[in-house]
Amino acid sequence: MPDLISTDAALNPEASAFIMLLLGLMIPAEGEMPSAADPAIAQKCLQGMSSAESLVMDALYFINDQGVDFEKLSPTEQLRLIDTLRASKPEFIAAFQFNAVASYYADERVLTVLGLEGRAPHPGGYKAPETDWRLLEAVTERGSIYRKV
Amino acid sequence: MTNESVDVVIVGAGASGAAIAWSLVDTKMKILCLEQGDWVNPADYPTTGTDWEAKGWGDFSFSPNTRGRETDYPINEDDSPINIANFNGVGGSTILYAAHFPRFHPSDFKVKSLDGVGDDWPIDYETLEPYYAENDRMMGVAALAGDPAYPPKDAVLPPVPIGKLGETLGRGLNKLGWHWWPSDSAIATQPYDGRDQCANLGPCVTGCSQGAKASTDITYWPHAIRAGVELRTRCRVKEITHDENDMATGVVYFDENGDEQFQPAEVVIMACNGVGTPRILLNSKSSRFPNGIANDSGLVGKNLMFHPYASIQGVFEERLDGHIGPGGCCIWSQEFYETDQSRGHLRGYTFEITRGRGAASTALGGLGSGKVPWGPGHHQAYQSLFDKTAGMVAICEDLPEEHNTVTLDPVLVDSDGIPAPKINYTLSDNSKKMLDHAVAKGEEMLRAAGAVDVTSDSPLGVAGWHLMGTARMGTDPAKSVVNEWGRSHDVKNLFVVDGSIFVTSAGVNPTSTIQALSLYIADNMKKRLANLFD
Repeated sequence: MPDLISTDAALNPEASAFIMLLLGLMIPAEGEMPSAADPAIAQKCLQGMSSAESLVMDALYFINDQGVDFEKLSPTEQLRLIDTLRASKPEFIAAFQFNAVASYYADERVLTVLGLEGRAPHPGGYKAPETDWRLLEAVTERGSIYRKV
Repeated sequence: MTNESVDVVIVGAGASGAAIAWSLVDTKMKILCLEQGDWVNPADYPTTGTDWEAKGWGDFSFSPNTRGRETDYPINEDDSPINIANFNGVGGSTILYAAHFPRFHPSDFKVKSLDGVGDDWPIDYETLEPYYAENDRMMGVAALAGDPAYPPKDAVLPPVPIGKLGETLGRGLNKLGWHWWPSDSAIATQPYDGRDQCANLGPCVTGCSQGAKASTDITYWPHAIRAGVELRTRCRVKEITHDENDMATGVVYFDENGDEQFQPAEVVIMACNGVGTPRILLNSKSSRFPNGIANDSGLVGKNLMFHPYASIQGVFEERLDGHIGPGGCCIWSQEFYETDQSRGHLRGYTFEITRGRGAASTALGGLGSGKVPWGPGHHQAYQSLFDKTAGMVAICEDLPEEHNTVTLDPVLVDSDGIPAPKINYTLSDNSKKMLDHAVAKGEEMLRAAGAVDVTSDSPLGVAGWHLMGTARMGTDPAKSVVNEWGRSHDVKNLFVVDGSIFVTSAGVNPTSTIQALSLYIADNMKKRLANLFD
């Protein structure tokens, strides 16, 4: 499994390692996009999952009960097992995906690659183009449509 | 503990409470507003961080049950397919609303006469028109004059930019020959009344960090407070008291320390929305009013109306810059607003075309739908959706039905021990047919605009933004809770000014009409001060 990162999350080491593994599996690095197991991203996810340790351990026990060494499986085999986990432990998958996505897609590097300037919306906002109101000519030509009473 | 008496106590500092507080300052009466929540600091709004979406799912969720702040009360929604959205604080639900600001139409006040369903209102569009206009000025409404779906009305501020996304969908609507128009939006598109100009930063529904969105904490309240209205926060009202003459004597509330206090008042005005107001009325029981104060009709809490919502979303091949511009305000279509019986349902709906989804919401939605996988295909699938998804919600007119109710939960209570509201609601056949129609027409529109993949979600679950009908207005005391100017039929110094008094829901967001009604009721009170209680 990936090395554990320094974190103040309350998850126990075994649970943290499991989450780290899942993060890298769910969103791998590609091109300029970092992996979700990137330390800065993973730390936020681990913190978010810290209140769901029982769900994490339940999922981990489920994986361990499958009679295979999850770490040593190929990514394809791991993903197949995750599908089984999804069907059996939907609450865990929901909590994990929520925290993983919330952490990954708030990372400034990720937002930059997505064309969002890698910053919070405020302050700064965004410049909007002028609207071409000539598009409404077809609407106004048709005339009033509200019901007279 | 008993406080010094006031002339008027207003319960709730949201859309309607703020408007009536401001309007009544003309009278020089001593006015106090009690609000269970706090002032909200704009610096705390999520859009000041890159994690704004996650915060919008948590502390700033529009579901009080998810948000679970100290200042919220729980709501039992187990028996409703639509869950409640609100915010408790100065500004009320305008803190988290989209500021989509349509008016009702003339036909909306005459649904019984025109279509044989629901009931007619005791007032009409012409009566409310000057109050709509006054409210537009106070809130600073951005609009483009000339919308063919409405009688003529002025625009206070220039319209919001519709962007590439709005123009793309506008072209699609033009191909079909359907109506569309830039949305009336309670958003300052220029500096206005101390508010900064909209910075097009995207999400409005987690609170406006820019201060451009017209939440009443920054519109009406500064004016009302400067004119002498007292606004007391962290005061949760438990009940309205009355004397032997059936006149309200004041309200009992819990202060921020949880201590019970009595606030005497000559006039009590309820402004707590269509769930909060009936909750307090029903909880105000006495030997005279065993079923709750002002409830001789038995209609308090009944006829609850939401707007059943459908969401229809399309995936386009090009990016649409959907993160630019106020999220809930772009364009609307009212092509299917007025009744056409050939559609299989009565009344109609508005298409509210919204901006694009955020980065995290796109991922979560994609994972949920199976379009974005785990593993090597994640990024490619994600890129096919991000900023390429656009669509709309259909806001369907709900009709009043007595079995849709707000009652007091027998078990669930808030942190002060006040019974929580319990919602019982079922979708009518008319609503189901209207939703189906909207989904079909929405898909047709998106495909005309160039969408290559269209999905829908109907009815939307957490979509109880609009809470109406639970203390309806009317001229007949047996068939309504308040009269045609908001005064209780049973308690002559008790008024209701929020969405509770709606007779029907129309097919548009209600805040503009809630506030226009509040100003109209204030004007009626001012005109009748000498014989207000006759």
